[in-house]
Amino acid sequence: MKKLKGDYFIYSANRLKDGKVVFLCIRERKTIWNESSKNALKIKRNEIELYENQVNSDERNCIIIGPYLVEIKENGEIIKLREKIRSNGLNINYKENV
Amino acid sequence: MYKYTELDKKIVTNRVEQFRDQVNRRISGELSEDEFKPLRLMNGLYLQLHAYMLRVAIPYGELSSEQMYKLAEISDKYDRGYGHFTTRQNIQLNWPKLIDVPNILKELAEVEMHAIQTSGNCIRNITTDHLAGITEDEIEDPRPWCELIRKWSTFHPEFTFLPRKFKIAITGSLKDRAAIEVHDIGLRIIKLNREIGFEVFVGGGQGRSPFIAKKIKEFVKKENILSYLEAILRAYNELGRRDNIYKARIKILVNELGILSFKKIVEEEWKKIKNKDFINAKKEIDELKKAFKIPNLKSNINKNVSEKNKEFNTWLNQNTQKHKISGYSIVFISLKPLKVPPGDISSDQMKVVSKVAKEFSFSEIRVTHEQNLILPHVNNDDLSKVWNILNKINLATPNIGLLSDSICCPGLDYCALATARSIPIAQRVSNYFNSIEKQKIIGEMKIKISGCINACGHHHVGNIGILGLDRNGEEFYQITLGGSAKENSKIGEIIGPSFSSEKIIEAIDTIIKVYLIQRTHKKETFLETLELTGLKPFKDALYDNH
Amino acid sequence: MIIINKDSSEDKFVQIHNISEIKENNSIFFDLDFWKNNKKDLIKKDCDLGIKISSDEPINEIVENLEIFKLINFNFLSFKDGRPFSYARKIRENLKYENKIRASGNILPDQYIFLLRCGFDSFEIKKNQIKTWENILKNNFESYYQFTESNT
Repeated sequence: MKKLKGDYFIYSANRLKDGKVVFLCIRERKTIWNESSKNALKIKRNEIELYENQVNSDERNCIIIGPYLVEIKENGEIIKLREKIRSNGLNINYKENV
Repeated sequence: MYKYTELDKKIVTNRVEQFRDQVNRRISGELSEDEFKPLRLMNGLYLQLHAYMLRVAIPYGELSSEQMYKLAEISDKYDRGYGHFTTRQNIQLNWPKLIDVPNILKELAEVEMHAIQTSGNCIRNITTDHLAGITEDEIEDPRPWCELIRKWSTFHPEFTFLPRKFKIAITGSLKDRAAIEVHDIGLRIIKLNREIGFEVFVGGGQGRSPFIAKKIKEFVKKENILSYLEAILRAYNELGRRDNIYKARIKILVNELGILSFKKIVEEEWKKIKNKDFINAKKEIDELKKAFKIPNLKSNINKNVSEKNKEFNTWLNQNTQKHKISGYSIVFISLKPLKVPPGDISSDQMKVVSKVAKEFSFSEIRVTHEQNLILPHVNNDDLSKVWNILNKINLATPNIGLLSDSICCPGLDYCALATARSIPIAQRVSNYFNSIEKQKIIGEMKIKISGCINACGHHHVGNIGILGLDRNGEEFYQITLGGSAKENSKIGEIIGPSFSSEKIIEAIDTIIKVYLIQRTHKKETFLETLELTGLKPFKDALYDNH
Repeated sequence: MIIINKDSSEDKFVQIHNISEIKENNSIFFDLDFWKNNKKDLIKKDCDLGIKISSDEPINEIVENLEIFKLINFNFLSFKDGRPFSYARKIRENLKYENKIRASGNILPDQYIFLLRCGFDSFEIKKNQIKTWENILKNNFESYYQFTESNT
C-alpha cells in the first residue's frame, strides 16, 4: 500500500458495468457511488477506516472496481492534475471535425 | 482483401461467446477483477482514466468499406460517435460499457473483425507497410505473410502467457515504412540467390529503455519462418524476466545476453523444430497470396491531373502518390486537421470514407502506423471527385509528411498511465504552424508526442520527439532530436532540460528557426541538417540565458 | 484440491519429504531440491517416481533423466507465469516424453485448453471448478490454427 499523503480525501472508483468514474457520496445516510465529485463525501484522514469496509464490500459485490483515495484540499478542491482531469471528464472538443 | 475462412469465422464466433461467458462470470462475482483482468485484456478491453477502452484489431492495417461502416455504426450505438487510430494500425473506442462489449464483439464478428490479442502479454497485431502490394519498391507483398503469422500467433497455446507484450512488424521493401527496427521482432522480406526469405531483427522497442533491434539472422528461408519465430518466442518465454514489468520485454533479454548469446540459444532450439509445419503453412501461403492480389487495374497513361483549383493542386501534390499501376494513385486521408486530436475520426467521417472507398477504391482502406488512412487504388480520373468529397468532411488537409502530420498518443486526457497531456501539445503545435506554405518550406518533419515514458506516441523515433513528464505536479515536456523510424532507425537524443507547458511551443519554434538558418539548401531535411551540425546550435539557441 | 487425469485414471502419487517415507511399490513425488539431494537413492527405489517443479525453476536438472519420471508436475506460482507451457511442449514434442505432465498451483479454468494443447494431461484443481473442467474436456480441438502434437 502506498503511503497516503494529505489530510482530506474523497473516494473514487469506476463502476464495473459501464466503467464510469464515480465518487463515494452520502445520500439519506447511506453511502452511494455518484458520477459527480462535487458532492463527494469529504473524509478526514482519521475517518478513512469508517468507510473502508463499505468500499471494499462494494468492490466485492461487483458494484465498483479499483477504489482509491483522492487527495483534496480542505475546501474540497482536487489537488493532482490527473485527478482533476478524471473528475471533470474529457476536456477536448472533438466535435470540431466538420 | 482477405476474406475469412470457415475456421476464421468459427474461431472468432467462439471467442465472442467465450468472452460473453467471462463477462457474466465477472458481473456475478464468480471471477474477481484480478482473474478477469488478463482475460479482458486478451480481448483488448482496458480500463482507462474515464472509462473502459476497447482496442479493435485491424490486422496489418487493412479495412474494407463494410468494416469501416460497421465501426461507425458501433461508435454511434455503443460509444460517443468517434474512434481513434493508433500507431499499431488498430482503432480504439474510448467509452464502451462492459455489459455492451460482448454485443460489440458480436457485431464486429459479423463483418469479420475482432479485438483478439490487442492487449495482454501475448503476440499483438502484426503491423506492416501501408503501401504493401501497391508500391514499386517491393521485393514481395508482405501481407500474405502477415496473415500467416497472424494465424500462427492467435491463441497460440504456448505463447499466451509471455513475460510481456510482443510486437511483430514486417516490411516487403528495402524501405522501412513499418518501423521494424523498433519492434520486438522485425522481419524484412529479401531475395537471396533468387530465393525469397526473411532478414530477422530482434529486440527493438521504445518505452522506458529504447533499443534499436539487432539482426539475428541474415536469411531465413520462407518455409522456415514460422519455426524460426517459434524458436525466438520459446527462448523469450523461458528466459524473459518476470520479476519486473519494466524489464520484461525481449529487448532487455537480448541486451543482457548479447545478440550472439541469444542467437545461440535460439538456433539450438530451432535445430530441433526446424522442419515442423505448425499450421500447414505451405498450403496456406499459396491460398493467401491469391487472397491478397490487388484488384484488376487497367493501366493508363499518367496524364496531367492538376486543375485550375489551387486547393486541389496543393492536396494532390501533398496527399497523393503514384500507384505502381500507371494511371492510378494512392490517396492519403489526413486525420490531422487543425484542432482535432491526431488520429481521431468521427462516425460521420467514417461513413463518408466507407462510401468513398466503395466507389473509388475497390472498397479498400488502409490504416498507417502514423495514424492516417489510405485509399489504395484510386483512378486518376476520379481524384478530383475524391478530393471534393473528402474536403467537405474536413479530411483533405494537405499536410501528409509535414510538420502538422504529427503522431500523438491519447495522453493524460484519456490514459490512466500518462504523466502529462499530449493532445493539447499536438493541437497547439499545428495551430502555431498552421500555414501549409510555411510547413512546405520546412519540408518533411516528423514530430512525435508521448504523454508518458511508455512512448506510445513513438517520440523516441521522432525527428523532434516530445515526452510529457510530471515535475512536482506540473506538466513539463522533454525534447529529443534526430530520431527516425525508417530503415537505419535512430533513437533521438535528449536536448536538455524539459520545458513548461507555456514554453514548449516557443521551444519548437526555436528549433525550426535554427534548422532553417543552418540548412545548406532548401531540400536538406531536418535530419540531414542535424547530422551535419550536431545538437550544439539547437542547444545554444534553446538554453542561452537570455 | 482434486486431481483430474485426461485418461481418467486415478491419482496415486503421494508427496514425500524424507527417504524414510518411501514404501515399496508406492507412487511418490518430491520437489526439485529433494531430487537433487537424493538422486542416487531415489533411482534405486522400486517405485513410480514423480517430480514437482515450480514454474520458476529451470528444467535442465531433469531432462537428462526424463525416462525415470512417471509424473512431472509443474506448479504454477502465478497463472501469468507461462514458462511451463514451453517446458511441457519441449518435453512432449522434442524429447518424446510419454508419461504424465501435470499442472498444479495457480491455474485458471480459462487456461485448460492451452495447457492440454501443450501436452499437459493431468490437473490439480479446486473442487468447485470440476464442472468447468468437464465442460472443457468435452470440447474438440478443431477451432484452432496451430497443430501441436497434443491437438489430436
